[in-house]
Amino acid sequence: MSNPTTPVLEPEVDVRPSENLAKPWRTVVFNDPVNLMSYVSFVFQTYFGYSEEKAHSLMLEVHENGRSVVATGGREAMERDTQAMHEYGLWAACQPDSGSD
Amino acid sequence: MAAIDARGDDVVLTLQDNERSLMLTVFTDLAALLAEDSDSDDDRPDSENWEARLGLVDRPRPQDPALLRLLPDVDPEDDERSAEFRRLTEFDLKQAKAHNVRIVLLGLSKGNDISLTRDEVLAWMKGLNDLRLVLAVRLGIDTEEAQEEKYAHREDLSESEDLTLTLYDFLTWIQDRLTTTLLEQTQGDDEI
Repeated sequence: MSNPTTPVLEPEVDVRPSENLAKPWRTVVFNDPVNLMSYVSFVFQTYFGYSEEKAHSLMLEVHENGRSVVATGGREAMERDTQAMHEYGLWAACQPDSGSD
Repeated sequence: MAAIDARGDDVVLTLQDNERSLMLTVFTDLAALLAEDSDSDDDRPDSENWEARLGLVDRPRPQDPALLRLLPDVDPEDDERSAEFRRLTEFDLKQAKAHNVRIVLLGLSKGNDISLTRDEVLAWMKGLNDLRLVLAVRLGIDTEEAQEEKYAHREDLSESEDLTLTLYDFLTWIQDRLTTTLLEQTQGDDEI
């Protein structure tokens, strides 16, 4: 029996700042005079799968406060959500979560 | 006057002749707006422009505010990230919007009684919303105050603005009715 010495592989670790991965991002929907309350509520229910109540209260937040954070998460997911909101014609943005709202 | 009714799983939209021909005209205009590529000297159709499809070429931010409203920045506070995102995604977004408009135009070409599946209703809702966004920009309705102002001083509007506002209201009504009909159908499904 042999007992080969296992070469120890040192992985080459590329050290990059991890803040971009760890930092949460958010999808913000802004108020505008065109988007209908029924439609905005419909989009939140259909796309995000939110309950009628949650969709309605987010829609009211957009309407009354001028904006609402409708989702938070990783950058890619938030960019995908923002793109989807744009396809529905809602005015939305994907922003780094500064913790201000 | 137009009517919208649920019929089984479908939604039936009934239009008058003049309503249908008007909608054909304005949705054809919207299709043309989405097909425009005035800033590019590339004369291939979008479907053959694989560099654009793959996000390999920069896409200029639209100069036309109506087109910019349809294809907005991903983050108005970050120009660099918005330009990169536009390069990678604007082509697909524009195609998706153009596809919705094609579904609307196909429906309108069928006659005055238009039976729509759930997916088609969704395309109509998105298409109507995009058209209303464009009309709102053309009318200068960018805030709720500006909108109220238009309605409060309707007698001051030019004839063409007044007609556009009437059309806008008509499209609003159709979009709202389609949305509530679809929501009612969804809620009906949940109860079964």
